[in-house]
Amino acid sequence: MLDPLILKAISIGLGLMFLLAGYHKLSDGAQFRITLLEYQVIPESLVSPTSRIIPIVEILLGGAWLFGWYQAGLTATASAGLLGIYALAIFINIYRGRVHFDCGCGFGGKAENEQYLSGGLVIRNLVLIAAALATLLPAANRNLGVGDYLTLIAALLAMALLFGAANQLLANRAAINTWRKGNG
Amino acid sequence: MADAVVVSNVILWIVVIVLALVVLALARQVGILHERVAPAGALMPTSGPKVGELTEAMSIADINGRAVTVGGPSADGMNTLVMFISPTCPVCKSLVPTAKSLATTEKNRLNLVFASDGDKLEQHQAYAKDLDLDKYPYVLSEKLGMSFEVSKLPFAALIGVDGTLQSKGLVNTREHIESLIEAMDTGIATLQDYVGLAQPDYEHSVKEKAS
Repeated sequence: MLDPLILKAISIGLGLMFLLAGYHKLSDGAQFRITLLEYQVIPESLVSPTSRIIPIVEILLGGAWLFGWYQAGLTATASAGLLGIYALAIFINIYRGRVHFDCGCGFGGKAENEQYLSGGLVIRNLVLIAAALATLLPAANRNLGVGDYLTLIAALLAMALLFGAANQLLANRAAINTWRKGNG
Repeated sequence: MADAVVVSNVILWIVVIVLALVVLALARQVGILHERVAPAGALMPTSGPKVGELTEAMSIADINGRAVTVGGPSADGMNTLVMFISPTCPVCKSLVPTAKSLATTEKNRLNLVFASDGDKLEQHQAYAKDLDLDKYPYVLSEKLGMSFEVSKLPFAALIGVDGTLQSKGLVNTREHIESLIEAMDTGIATLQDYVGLAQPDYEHSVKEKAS
């Protein structure tokens, strides 16, 4: 049984994340096309249409999470699927050894905070997938009080900050890995 | 009792959020630091022997009286890093442990030799003892320094297996010494050469494809 508060925290957190990600990709379409090209997982002719579809799907998913349309299970499975595709694309490129391009997943996208690919990003996506799928578990019935909403806000704030910190640390680690190996 | 739990929860949430903020700020600072510390190699003087030139083999006695050969083709198939230091140079003192640690990391292909000059043998012996340099040859030779035209310390010269000078320069940090080894491995003498070589066509091709 999942407490409704946890369900709410996950859905609002994922909702905000997808909305931000979609907005970011829409606002800098050229950069997103470069990123898609760099992944080299879809044919070049499909890059342009894909770069338009992905942000729309992300915004739709974000809206669905925020407005609580997750009961049907479609939102959760679709989100997990999309995140899974990202994780697979990152994994394929790590396997190929092509890691030195911006992953397009750090909400920055500007040249000064590029985030290179790393295994950590795959794990990050797996954690997000687990969170999305957790909402499929049966939820307990409990009325949420004022205190619960305060907890919700605090938890979301802490999650957002830690998500940002984790992203930054992954970026730092990738940058440090470009240094000479074996520095004790 | 219930009040106490509520209060404790509020305080804990505040602490959690502040801590998360601190972690984020710290991570950000590390990232910024990494960007600010731009890659820079050893400062290479234009005077003295050029990179690629064959160095002259010199047999010099070290401070313990053993003969050490510096320069020329190496007998044991190792590269030689000659570190010019002096007891009177403060930066040298902090760089010696760095050089030793690097020599340990690269010990399967790199010999480390310390070089200095001056006539006060006791001073050098005390200095070597102080910095724990027993494992490495420490030679005193004015001629060696002259042949590389060493004007500022700490200075390092990397001599390849075949006896040619691979790289040289004024070294102040570990990154500087590493840049000498990097220069040998890649065959690219300076950062300026590398930037000119690698960057422009990559950026260009990606931007072109996307537009």
